[in-house]
Amino acid sequence: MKNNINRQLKKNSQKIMARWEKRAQKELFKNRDESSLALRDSLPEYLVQMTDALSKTIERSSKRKKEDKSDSSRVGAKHGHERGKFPGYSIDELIFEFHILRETVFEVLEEDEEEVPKQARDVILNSIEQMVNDAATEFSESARNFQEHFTATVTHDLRTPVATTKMSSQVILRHLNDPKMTAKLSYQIIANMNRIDSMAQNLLDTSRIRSGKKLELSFENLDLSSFTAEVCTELNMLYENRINSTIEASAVGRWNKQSLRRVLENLVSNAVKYGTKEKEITVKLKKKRNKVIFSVHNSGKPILQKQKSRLFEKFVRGNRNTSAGSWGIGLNVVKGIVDAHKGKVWIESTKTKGTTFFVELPTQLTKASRHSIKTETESFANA
Amino acid sequence: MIVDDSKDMRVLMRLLLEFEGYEIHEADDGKQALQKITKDKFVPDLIFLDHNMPVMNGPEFVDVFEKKYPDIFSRVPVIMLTAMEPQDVAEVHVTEIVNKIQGVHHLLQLANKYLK
Repeated sequence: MKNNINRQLKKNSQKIMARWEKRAQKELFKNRDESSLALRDSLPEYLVQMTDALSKTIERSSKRKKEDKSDSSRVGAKHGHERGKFPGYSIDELIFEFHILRETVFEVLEEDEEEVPKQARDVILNSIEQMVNDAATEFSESARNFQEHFTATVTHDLRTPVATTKMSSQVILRHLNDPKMTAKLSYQIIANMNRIDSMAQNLLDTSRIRSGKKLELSFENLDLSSFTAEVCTELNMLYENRINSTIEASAVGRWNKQSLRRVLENLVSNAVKYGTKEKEITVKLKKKRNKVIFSVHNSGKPILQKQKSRLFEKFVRGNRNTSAGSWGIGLNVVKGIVDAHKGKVWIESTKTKGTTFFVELPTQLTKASRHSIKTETESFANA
Repeated sequence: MIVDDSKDMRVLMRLLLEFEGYEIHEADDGKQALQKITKDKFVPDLIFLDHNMPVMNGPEFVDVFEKKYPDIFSRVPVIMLTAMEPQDVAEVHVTEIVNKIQGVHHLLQLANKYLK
């Protein structure tokens, strides 16, 4: 009978996988992005392990039991470790994942068998319980490490413009009779305060995005051409005229102005940070039927292929050494904003051509997005 | 010499120290600072060195500087500037580690301490 359960489990592992995934997607990940399910990779390993454990239920020496326990600890710990790196993912959700797994396993097995025998049931339950314990322990550890690292990075990055602002003010006080220097340093203070504000805004947006919510934006009629030109002029003051823009006239649509400013600011500041020093940054805007595509290009070292796919995830930064204000959330915010506009963002990066970030935004909104805008505007108006 | 990738920081330090009569040399990162010492045969009297920089950061610079030019290294004070808490900085062979947030008075005191 036990070997029969073992065979059933092996035979149905694909079915269990598919059913678990469907339920997990529906009950746990419906508000999250696709990458959340990347961790389904651990499930086949669980199932193999469980079948292994079942196959040994007849003759299991204490040594074998110890080895099985150690196997399940390893898989559980690995899963917990990965989940712990998911910002906004709670321990309740982690436990619920295993709860779904347990229900799914018995549901599938009992479709063919009348009832899973007690001994086999105990093996399955023990195996899952062991994995839950190890996953929860590792989850807490991983989440704590992540939080500590994140807090240290945020503190460091916020302190840099704060320190410069403090020093600028102190130097002004020492040179009050020099209006030219006072003016220059005052502009520097304003630029640094804007930088701090932009970091705070990115942090707020990220906390919304990471909790699985879409950014709620209200849209307005906007001429993206003149707006982009205006933002480029401001950024040129900050980055010493390094930005060269080619902007096609009258790209009109319905967008959220402030959030698109952050998209441009984030992409340009990234280009400045990671591009070749003092080389030009190019911003282009083109109209294409009912879409607008804008791009930000910098020359310099290309982004590796394996980094490209991870670049829009949270807390990924290109070069840990850079002191420019960033803790690796800028591109995640860019993606969140572009998604909220039902647009697309992608990267092209080669050794010879440098790196270009492209953003494509629809000018006319679909019925679904019109409805969503209406709902968002109403909820905003009722707030 | 001021070694910092932030132009704002270099400008501020220059304004501050030039007013006190010191001659200032600047480098964008550790690599550029090493080039000044190697190619230009420039020997600074004091180095204000940022911790986090692209290309070559502060600790990497110190490591190469000490190995390549032990004589110069032994007589040039190096003040490492950081936005972190000094106790959180991994062990590095410098004269002092200073939090940038302490402001200009402290930096001036340090310059006067090592240069006068």
